[in-house]
Amino acid sequence: MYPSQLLKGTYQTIILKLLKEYNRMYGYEISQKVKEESAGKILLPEGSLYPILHKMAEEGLVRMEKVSIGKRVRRYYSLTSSGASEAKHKVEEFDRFVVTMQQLLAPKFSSQ
Amino acid sequence: MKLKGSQVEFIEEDLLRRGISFENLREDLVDHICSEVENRMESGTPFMDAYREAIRPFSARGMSQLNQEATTNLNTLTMLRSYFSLTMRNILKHKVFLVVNIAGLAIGMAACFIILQYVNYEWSFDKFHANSDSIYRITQKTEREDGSPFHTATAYLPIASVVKEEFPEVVDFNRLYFLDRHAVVSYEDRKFEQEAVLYADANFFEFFSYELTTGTASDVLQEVNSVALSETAALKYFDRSDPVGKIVKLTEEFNELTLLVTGVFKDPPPNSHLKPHMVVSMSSYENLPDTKENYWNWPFYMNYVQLRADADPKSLEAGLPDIVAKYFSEDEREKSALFLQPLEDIHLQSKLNYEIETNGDGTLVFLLLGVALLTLVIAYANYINLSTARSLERAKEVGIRKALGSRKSGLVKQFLIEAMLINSIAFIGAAALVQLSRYTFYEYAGLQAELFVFTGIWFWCGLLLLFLIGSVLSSLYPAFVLSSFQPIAALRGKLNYSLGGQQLRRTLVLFQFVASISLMIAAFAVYDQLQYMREKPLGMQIDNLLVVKGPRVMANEMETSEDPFITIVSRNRAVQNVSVSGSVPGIWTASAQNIVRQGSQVGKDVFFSIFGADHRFLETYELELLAGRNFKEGIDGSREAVILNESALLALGFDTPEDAINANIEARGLEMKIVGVIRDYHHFSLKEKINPMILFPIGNGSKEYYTVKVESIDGQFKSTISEIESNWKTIYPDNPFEYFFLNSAFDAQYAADLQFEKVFTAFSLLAVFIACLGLYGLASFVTMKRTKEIGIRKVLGSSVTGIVILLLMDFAKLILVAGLIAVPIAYLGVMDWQSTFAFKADLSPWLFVIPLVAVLSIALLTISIQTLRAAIVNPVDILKYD
Repeated sequence: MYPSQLLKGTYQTIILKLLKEYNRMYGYEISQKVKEESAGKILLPEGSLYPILHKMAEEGLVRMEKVSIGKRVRRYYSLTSSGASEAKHKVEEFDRFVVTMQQLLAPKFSSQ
Repeated sequence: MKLKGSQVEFIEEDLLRRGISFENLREDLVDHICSEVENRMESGTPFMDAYREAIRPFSARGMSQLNQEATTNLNTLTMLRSYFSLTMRNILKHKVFLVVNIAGLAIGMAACFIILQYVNYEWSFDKFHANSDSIYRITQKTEREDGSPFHTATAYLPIASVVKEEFPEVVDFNRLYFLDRHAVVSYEDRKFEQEAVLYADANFFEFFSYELTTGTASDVLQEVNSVALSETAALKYFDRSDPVGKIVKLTEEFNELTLLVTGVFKDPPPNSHLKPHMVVSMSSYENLPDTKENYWNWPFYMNYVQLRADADPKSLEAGLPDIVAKYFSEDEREKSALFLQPLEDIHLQSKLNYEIETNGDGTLVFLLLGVALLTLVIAYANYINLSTARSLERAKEVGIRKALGSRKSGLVKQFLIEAMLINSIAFIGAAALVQLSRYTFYEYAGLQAELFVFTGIWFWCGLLLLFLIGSVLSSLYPAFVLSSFQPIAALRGKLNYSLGGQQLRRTLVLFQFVASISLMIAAFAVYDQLQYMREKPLGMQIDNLLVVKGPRVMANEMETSEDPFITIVSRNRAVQNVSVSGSVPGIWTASAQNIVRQGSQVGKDVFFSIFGADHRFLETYELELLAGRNFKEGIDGSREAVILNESALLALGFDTPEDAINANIEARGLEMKIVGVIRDYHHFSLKEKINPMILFPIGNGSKEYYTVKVESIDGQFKSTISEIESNWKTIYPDNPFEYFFLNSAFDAQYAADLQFEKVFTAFSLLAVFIACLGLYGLASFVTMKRTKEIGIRKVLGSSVTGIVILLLMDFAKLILVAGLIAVPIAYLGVMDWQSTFAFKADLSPWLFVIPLVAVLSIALLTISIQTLRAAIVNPVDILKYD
């Protein structure tokens, strides 16, 4: 399990990526999916998940629809078109970040 | 494994208590946690354990922290929506509280609006004139011969013009002569009776703001013998044809004028002390020889002056004595004075002689305003009461939220929004109530329906302000009491019945009941006084009497010994008696002083009511002759004979009626012989004392009223009246036939008092109702709080009755104390009100006991409904949860 200091800036990217892939998800589903796909190595803290979702809803990156299931309401989130491009942008940015990090941290084989 | 509805509800409630007030977030979390709990319960974990596990990741950082994070970036609209939905949740959970609160507030507000509109109407008088705030009326005060002051709304005709000459701050003036009796207007061969006829200076339509529809303001009254008519009057005379250029003839008491119609004006608004329907140019009146001759003798003219905007009316008034000194005749200077009166004050403040119409009563208007505001305050007291009561219930919630870091301002905001919401619903409800009930109410109270002048921006601003102040004040207290709870104390449940509210609630309930019991007693006393006045024997009989107003225009002097109208009417089979007189009960009489017992000064300072009557007067009104005889038949012969009433007898110093017979009295050199003495009767309403009265044999000139006594055969009245009318047309073809029923005219003297009674009764009942509504809510709350106590008491052997009494005693004591405070307040108020009546009903103790008992029973009944329910419940049901 990776420490949360390492992950903090990546939560939004992860959520955007998942929403792009699965189209429509509810909060609990997102947190379970992250756990599942990362084989338990990454845990999306519940305390961060929802503020991020609401912030993205305010910014127009995601839209929300309510479905009533029994006594409670399930709120499904999906990407808007600007959310989709943001997802693409974030993933690309992270890819570049990873490459840079690798360059930075890779053991240097001297070219001498 | 699917969660049960009650479990989902439990989770939602718990999240709410932990500070998740933002609805969107709460929905997310409920779903999240439910899913997690369901997952865990699949593997056999019990619900509560699963729940604790599920919320752990959230509570690690604090729920309210989370709530704050989720809401910091929100825009205001989403924020408000969230508060709103939370409020709805809160108030819908307490339906009794909601209904009682809204109903009480709505009724209180509606009552207040209706009265405010009435007050607004009364205050709006004469404000429609463009210069209303700079126009003043000059009134004149003189002394009667006995030295008593005589202040009239009218003054000598030239006064306004000389005041303008002498004082530069007077920019304009207008003088009126208002005909106090109806006049007859004829057009071609038709005759109409016309009221509200006045003569006015040429600038009338520029000076005042009556709106001309035809003609220009500066021209219409310029010429001698020109007249402007109201739309109603014009329609009456000329139907739809153009009135301008038509010639009408005006016959009034002293003069006959031929007039040219030059203009038409809109009917005067009802909120004006001067409502003319026919305005004749003053020059036509000044042309009359009598007028000029009596410029400084007849004080019968309204004098209005307009001051410069920056002028000080006080300094002008201080200069008025100079006018008196300069222009008044020598013997008048000493005892005369002139005064200024603002135009806008005339309707509510002026109660002088010779007013144009009976003015309103400023004190009464204030009294009603007070009652209306009291009703509103009672309604708001309900709100505060119920909110603080409920706040105790919510103390735990607030404690938790504060412990978890909710900010105080957030809580206060929450309560303010709740108050606003309830107030708004009540406001809308009140508007609907006003809409539904206003005409019924105005009809019931006998107020004018047209007083719905919804004009004036300040009226609406005032209402809005009232609403805002009301909702803020009524919510501030509960808000601060609640949010200042110490979390620890709140969580320990130590707040119950000790802190915040108990004392305040008692005070408020006490206040509500002091107010409503006082109002109730006052309403009872008003009713009692009016009942007393209507039931007390008058000393005469006034039923089945038809009064026909005497002729204005006599074709020729009819100096026959028998009145021809009486002769012809008497032939009617249904007519039992006909009498003619100068006054009838309930109608103004002339009064005279300087009447003395012959050879002495006894009675010199006394004012006697005097009027003429024929020999059938006593019989028609069934007045009792104590000594002597009635007038003899016929007009001639006994002119010097007079009949006195007992009060006059006393005033002239006679010991017994018999002593007075054949004694002489003197009035300005005239000698009269007392031929009869009658028992005192109430010529006027019981509001007034019985005046010393002198009857003299009627002459032709003073035939003001014919009283016809008809048999009371139901359904025949109409045909009898039409027969009398045809008789009238035969004898007085030039005069309109006007009649009224004496009993209703006599009772009309009480019209204003009856109106007052009705409004007062309605409002006191409303006040009691609203107070009881609040009591109901409070009782239901207190009972709920004490269910556990009730259960334990029942287990320990208390009876249902015992428990109900226990719960009632608390409130009963409070209401009794309220009664003890209310009785002296009401007593003083009633005494003060009664002091304006000459004949007062005795204030029996029942007047105080009955309202008190009534309010007490209504209140206790209200509470019993609640307490009985609680007392009957099986204690097992209550206690098993603990």
